[in-house]
Amino acid sequence: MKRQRFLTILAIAGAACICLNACVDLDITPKNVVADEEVLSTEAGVNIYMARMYSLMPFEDFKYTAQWGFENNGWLNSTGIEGTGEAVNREGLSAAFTSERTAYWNKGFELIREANYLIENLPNYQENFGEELYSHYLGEAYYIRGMVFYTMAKRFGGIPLVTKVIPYPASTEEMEVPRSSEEETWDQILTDFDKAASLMMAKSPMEGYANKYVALAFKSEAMLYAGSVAKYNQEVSGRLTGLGRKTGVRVIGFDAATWKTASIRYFTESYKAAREVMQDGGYSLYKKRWAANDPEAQYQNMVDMFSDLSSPENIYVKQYIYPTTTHAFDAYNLPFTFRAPLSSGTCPTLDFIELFDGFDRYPDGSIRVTSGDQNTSGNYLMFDSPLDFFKDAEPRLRAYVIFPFDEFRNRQIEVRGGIYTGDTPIKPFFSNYGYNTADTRYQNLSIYNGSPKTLYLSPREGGSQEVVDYNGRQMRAAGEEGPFYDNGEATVTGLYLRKWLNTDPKAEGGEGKSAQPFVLMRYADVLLNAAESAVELELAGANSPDGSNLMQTATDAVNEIRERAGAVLLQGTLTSDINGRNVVRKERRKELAFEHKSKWDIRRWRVAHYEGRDGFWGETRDKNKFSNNENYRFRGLYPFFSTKTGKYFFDARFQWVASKTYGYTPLNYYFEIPGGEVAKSNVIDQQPNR
Amino acid sequence: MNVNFEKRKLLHGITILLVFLLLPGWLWAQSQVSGVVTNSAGQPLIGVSIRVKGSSPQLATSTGAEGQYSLQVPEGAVLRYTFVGYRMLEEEVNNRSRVDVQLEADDSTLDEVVVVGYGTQKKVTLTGAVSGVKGTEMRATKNENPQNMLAGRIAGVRVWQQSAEPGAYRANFDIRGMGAPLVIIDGVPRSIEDFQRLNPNDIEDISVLKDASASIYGVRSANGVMLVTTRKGREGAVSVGYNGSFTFQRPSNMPFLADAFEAMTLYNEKSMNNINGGNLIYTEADFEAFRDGSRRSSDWTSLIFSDVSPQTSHDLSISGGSAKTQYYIGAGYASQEGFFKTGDLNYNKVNLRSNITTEIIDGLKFDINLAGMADQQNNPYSSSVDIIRNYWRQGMLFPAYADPEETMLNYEGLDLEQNTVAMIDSDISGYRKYKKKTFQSSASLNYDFGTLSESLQGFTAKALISYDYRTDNNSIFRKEYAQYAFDPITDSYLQKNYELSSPNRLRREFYEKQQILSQITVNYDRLFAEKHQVGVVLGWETQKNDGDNFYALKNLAFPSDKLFLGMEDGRMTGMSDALSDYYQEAKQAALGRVNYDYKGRYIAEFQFRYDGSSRFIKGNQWGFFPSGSAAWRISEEPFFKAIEALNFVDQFKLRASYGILGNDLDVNNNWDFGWIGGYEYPATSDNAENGYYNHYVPGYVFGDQFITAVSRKATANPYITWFESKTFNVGVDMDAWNGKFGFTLDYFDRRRSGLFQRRTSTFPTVIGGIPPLENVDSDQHLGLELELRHRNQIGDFGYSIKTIATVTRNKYLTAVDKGPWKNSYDRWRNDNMNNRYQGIQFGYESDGRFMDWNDIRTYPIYTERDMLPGDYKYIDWNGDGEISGLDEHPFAFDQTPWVNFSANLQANYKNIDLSMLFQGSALGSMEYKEPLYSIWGTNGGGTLTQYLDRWHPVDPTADPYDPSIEWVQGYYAFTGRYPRTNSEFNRVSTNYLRLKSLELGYTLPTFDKHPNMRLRVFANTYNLFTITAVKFVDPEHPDDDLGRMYPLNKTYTMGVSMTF
Repeated sequence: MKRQRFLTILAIAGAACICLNACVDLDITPKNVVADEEVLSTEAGVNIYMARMYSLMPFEDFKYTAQWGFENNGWLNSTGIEGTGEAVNREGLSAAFTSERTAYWNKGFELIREANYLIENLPNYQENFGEELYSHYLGEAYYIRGMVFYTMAKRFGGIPLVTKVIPYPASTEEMEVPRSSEEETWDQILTDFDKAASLMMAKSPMEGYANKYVALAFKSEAMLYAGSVAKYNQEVSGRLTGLGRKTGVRVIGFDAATWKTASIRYFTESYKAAREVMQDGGYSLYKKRWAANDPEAQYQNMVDMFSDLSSPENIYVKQYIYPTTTHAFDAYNLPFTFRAPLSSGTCPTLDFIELFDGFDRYPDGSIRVTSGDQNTSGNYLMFDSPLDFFKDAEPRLRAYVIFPFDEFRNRQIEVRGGIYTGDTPIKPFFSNYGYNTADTRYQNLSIYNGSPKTLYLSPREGGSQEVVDYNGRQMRAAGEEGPFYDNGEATVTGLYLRKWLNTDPKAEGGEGKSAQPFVLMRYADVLLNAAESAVELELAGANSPDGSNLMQTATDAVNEIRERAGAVLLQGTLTSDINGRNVVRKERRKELAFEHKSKWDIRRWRVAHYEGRDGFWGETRDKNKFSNNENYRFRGLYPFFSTKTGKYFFDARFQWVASKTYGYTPLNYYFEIPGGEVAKSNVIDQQPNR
Repeated sequence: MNVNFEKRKLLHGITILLVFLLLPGWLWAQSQVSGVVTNSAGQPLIGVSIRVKGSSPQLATSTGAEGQYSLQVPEGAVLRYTFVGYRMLEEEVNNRSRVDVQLEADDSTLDEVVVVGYGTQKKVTLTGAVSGVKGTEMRATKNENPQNMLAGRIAGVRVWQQSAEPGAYRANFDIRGMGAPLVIIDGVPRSIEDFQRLNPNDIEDISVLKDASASIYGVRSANGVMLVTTRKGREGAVSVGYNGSFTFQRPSNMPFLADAFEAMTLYNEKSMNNINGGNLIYTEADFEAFRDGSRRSSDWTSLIFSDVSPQTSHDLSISGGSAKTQYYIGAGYASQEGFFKTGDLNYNKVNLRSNITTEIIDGLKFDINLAGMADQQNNPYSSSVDIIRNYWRQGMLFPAYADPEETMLNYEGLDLEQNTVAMIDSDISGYRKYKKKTFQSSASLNYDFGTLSESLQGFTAKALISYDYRTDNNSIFRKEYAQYAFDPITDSYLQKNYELSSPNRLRREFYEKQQILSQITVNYDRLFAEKHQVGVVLGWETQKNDGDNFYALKNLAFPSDKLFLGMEDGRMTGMSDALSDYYQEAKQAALGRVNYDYKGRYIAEFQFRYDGSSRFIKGNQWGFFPSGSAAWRISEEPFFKAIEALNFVDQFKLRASYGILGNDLDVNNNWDFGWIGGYEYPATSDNAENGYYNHYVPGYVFGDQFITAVSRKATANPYITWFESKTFNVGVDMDAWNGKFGFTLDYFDRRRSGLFQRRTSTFPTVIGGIPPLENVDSDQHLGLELELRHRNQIGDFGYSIKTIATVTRNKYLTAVDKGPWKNSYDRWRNDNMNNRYQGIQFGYESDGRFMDWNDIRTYPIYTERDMLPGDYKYIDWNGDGEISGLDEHPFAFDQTPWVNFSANLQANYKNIDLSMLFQGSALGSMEYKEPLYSIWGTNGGGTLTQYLDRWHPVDPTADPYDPSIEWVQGYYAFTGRYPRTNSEFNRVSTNYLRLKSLELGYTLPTFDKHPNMRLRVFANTYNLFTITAVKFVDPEHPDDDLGRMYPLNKTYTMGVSMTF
């Protein structure tokens, strides 16, 4: 008995010991939390901090979709479909740039906080870094803050200028920041870029970082925007300006008394910044494969330049690395037969092609497809191959756009609208190609659905193709690459995009398989900034900021670009009038197409709304030919095969497959401030014109 | 078998004999008593425990195979016969040498013991709202998931099965609508997943703490506690049990696709639905092409879904024991196949359990519970949602195979070229395998100090240590495959790899989780002066949990599922830093309870837990959670007993409880250790395996290298701590007429405050940070619960009925993240969280349908010019003469129903037994979404058969806007015309009543040779029929996943259960 009792007590005591030993420490720090000391005190740590800032940067590249905004969502990404006229596609995403689903507001302030935090806290660790690197880091913070302010100002006008880390919790006065006037906003952007340029190293300490010239290049672009807005707001009926209801601050537009001097000030800064990059930056246009008078070489040169990371033209590039960080541009934009599983997201328009040299034209300047003096008269011009139509086209255009029957990834891109079996010569299919009849399409023609049937089209690919007997062989009505009238997954304009696509025939196209870099800023941009600000300064009667000949600078810049492009050079110097300005604008429209730049140009020139729309294309075109007083639309170019002759002819008409129109009103030149933000704050004003 | 059986009997006999022989010499035998124990039918009872009352040391035995026993007893001994399911019987020996007794079956619930936190209590003297269900009762519903077996069984426990997908265990489960409860299995906190994977046959009983009685579980108790007890062995002969069943499953309401002709007709109608002139997409030639076979369609439905899907389960249990040692050993196997034809969606599970109790020395008991579970969930590479989505979307206009011999998968005409037949086949497209293994153990020592001395009677101590371990081992294999299209021009087949299937890729994931828990409890339970029953529990508990994981991913050189075959390209390793996957946490608590019971009339109880959680910063870690409850058993009052007229009342009790409970789990699951600021490293984002191509990239490329970024944590809030839940409950229990009638009625009110939330509505955006989590929000749950019981026996026919109804309402009180509001209308319309009851949907009420053109012309409210007969009419709620957003008003409830009810009927006649469970809910609604709302697809896709029931012209090619044509009426409006999504036409009440389970059993008469052998055969159906207004899908099937979630099932089971 004694022994048992002893054993029992021992057992209980033992169990008690186990439990007491298991007394646990409740002070457990989560394993993945790190503090400032770890992040800001070493180069490797700052690199990680920079990676955070850059990961939040509002870069409009392969993962930006204009209609959605910065959602980090590459889904169906394409370029030039934002109502710029460069391209269209079947999707609802192809719409005028009147708003962004996710407004760039919260994410902007998140990044501004990171930049301000670095400016305020890095000094605590100054001794850990070399002087040059330390000041470069600070410069990055100013550059990033300037970029965010610029990104917001383009969209909203005046914005809250948060230039310090705001504490929380704190008094309302400390925590709330009202919108500044638009002029103050652009002045702050100017200050931040200047500060950044003064602090940063001439060469990036690491690829992917900015440097002095990156800051200056973006400064010149931002100041060109500011100068344009200050000036062209005045030309929009009712002047685009007003005071905030809560604060009385001029949150959009410029004061009547200051717009002119502000405009000149900004154009001057833009010119100065561009000139500094041109003179000291050491950049040049990419001409590695270029050869004079060799269109093939000039074309290939311009295809290569967008993927060559060693290009001397690159000022700032966003890189991707497969498979760690990728995009899906190929998946959404390859021609139809490469679809993976989507395709044809960017279909360039005929209107865009008309900007370029090398085509026969009607008296009104539009591309000639018939023997008459407009496309309703005469007979269709016949070509042995569709490519013959493009034989004199500018090499730059061929580098940007895949022509019907041209090669891409060793494959002939067979684009054919349909087959015509009627007699020749062939009269134009439609008697009216006007805006209001655009909805009458090939499938509504009696030659297609009546009897006798002489026109063959295909609703879809593969087994759904209509088939025509041609000299004993079966021929599909539509090309392998479309267009198909009931399937917008192939081209809808008769053209495909080439720019940015991976040209490697072995490359896979699926989502998450692309890693081409996106060139966010290149030397050609800077040349065009210099040219445009020069012309604007000259138009305003201002002096040259650095004593250089403004018009000569502009002329040289345009010619430098044209020479590389294989385009016709300017004869003589640009004139200091609207024509001279339009030459620069048109060059910009061509050179920078599909780079997320044109939609901003159209905005800052204030040419998207009806009254200004004559200037939409950079040159003067009669707006009533492509729009009514509300909406506008774009055209395609469709090759047809004639069985009687074995030749091809082209029909030029408003985009055939989907009926897509675009609208723009002066209201849209400033995006709405997110309603919730206005409601939440006592100081944030909505746009006064909304 | 027989021989073994005999042998075992023999062995058992020898064991018992040995025990007797070795009984210590101090056993001063006076006389030998023997006898037989039988039941009222005269059949012998095996394993009846017989003790000499008050003997010390204990004198005890149990009956053998023929019910016989024999025992040495002292003079004047009183024998106490106890056997589960029978009333205890005491019999004086009085110098007899043979004592034969008959035990009466115990059908009274009054002596029931209920498991509560850290102990058990008699049901009659409970002061809290505690309900339970016996394992046997629960098992009358046949389902793979014990959770679903609980549906309709326990008042206040709401189970809502969402899908029958094998191994997915998708079910909503809560107590009184309060949220996910804490699950305790055999005294140890475990997860709901552990409960779902229990072998149902191992469950002894389940009890649920619904009110402040849960407060003894402190910081995790706010949503109530479910206590599961597994079976234990009993003293007596070896009992072997076997249950086996085979089940056929059918989907419970699953929309299928219409055929090609119907699809083309609907598409034509949709295209004709244009007031400016529509056109026919499919001409007579297209119809003819399908008729003469020049175009092929496939019956996708039969290619993808099998007619019946099998399911089976088997389990074996062995239990028994001697006076000192009892054991229960259970083994179970279950497998279930999904509805897809290939059978590649399936699940299997093996359970093993061993619960052993032994008395090491007098008064010291050792318990060990060991349980292991291994399961495997096999899926095709595509999820069931994607498979159903794709099946619905593609339609039947294009064949599954490019060639008539059906050897080459087709891609032509399929949206995104995705062929559903490839998706359901693991051999073609790869798989996802999820393997889980759990090991759960607990060992405890329990010492009864009463064996030491009389003065220590009722004083016991227990020490328990538990160790649980779980691993998840997942393989996700994507296999590249080719698809084909026929090219009529070259008369050949084009081959193309399906883009999204490439490259071949294998991902392996490994997770491990473990928990160590130790408890010491001291119990004191004693009756003083025959009237003061005092019970005390004091305990100390510590717990540590940690979880770890990693994964590896490689693109494969060959389509073979081995990681070492990976290529250099596309290699990735990493881990999930989600709080549920990677954590280290600790808890520590002191707990206690005092009960006082005066003559079984006045009962009071006080409980507390002083609980510490590592989730919070030092200083905020510890919380005190007290509760008190009291009951008054009026039926025990002398005055009550004195009233003759009230004699029929067996018991009548009033009770009330109030307590403060806590929770350290964030309701919205965004717990981020808000007391600490700084950064998190590494920053993460979705879709890393595809290079984040459609997501935020948590880093940046510098110098040709990807640098992973930090992410900034929310502003720190050092004050964050658990939130509190104040729970009040008042109830009545009554039983009368010897169990013929009983009811329980409860009212409850729980108010939570200090719920975690961020003040996003007022946090200025310009700050650019994330507002901290604070203890700021609050809400309230209140409701009623009623349980009615009836039991009766008429001759050989016995039956019982139990009905349950629960109504729960949830009222939000404060939600600081909502707003700001532009005006009071905006607030009324959109603020669902501040001072408002849950579950109200805004929308339009029905005003019927336009029956003909005249109806449209004469309709007083403004209508669009393209109205058609059959179109939907809405009530102009604000009376402004037009239907607009301003007519939206509260008109329907949410998906989660407020009211749950059930009726459980059991009957037996001789050897036949019947069990029926009716179950339903009310005051809930669901919305038909995307594919269930409209024809969602292109190219003939999305045409579910239900859409054929529509208003349409008799002539399918007629212009619907021609007023002269004749119409056929239907459920839907003309194809292409849809009601407003948030209207009565599209959001329908999910009220339903269904026969959840029906079981008919027959017990074979016993063989004379083996009187203990019991063989029962049964047939069971699950979800046999449902009365509801929901069409096309099951009313419990939620509109999650836009209606594409895997359906519920109806099952038909045949089975056998056997014990000997």
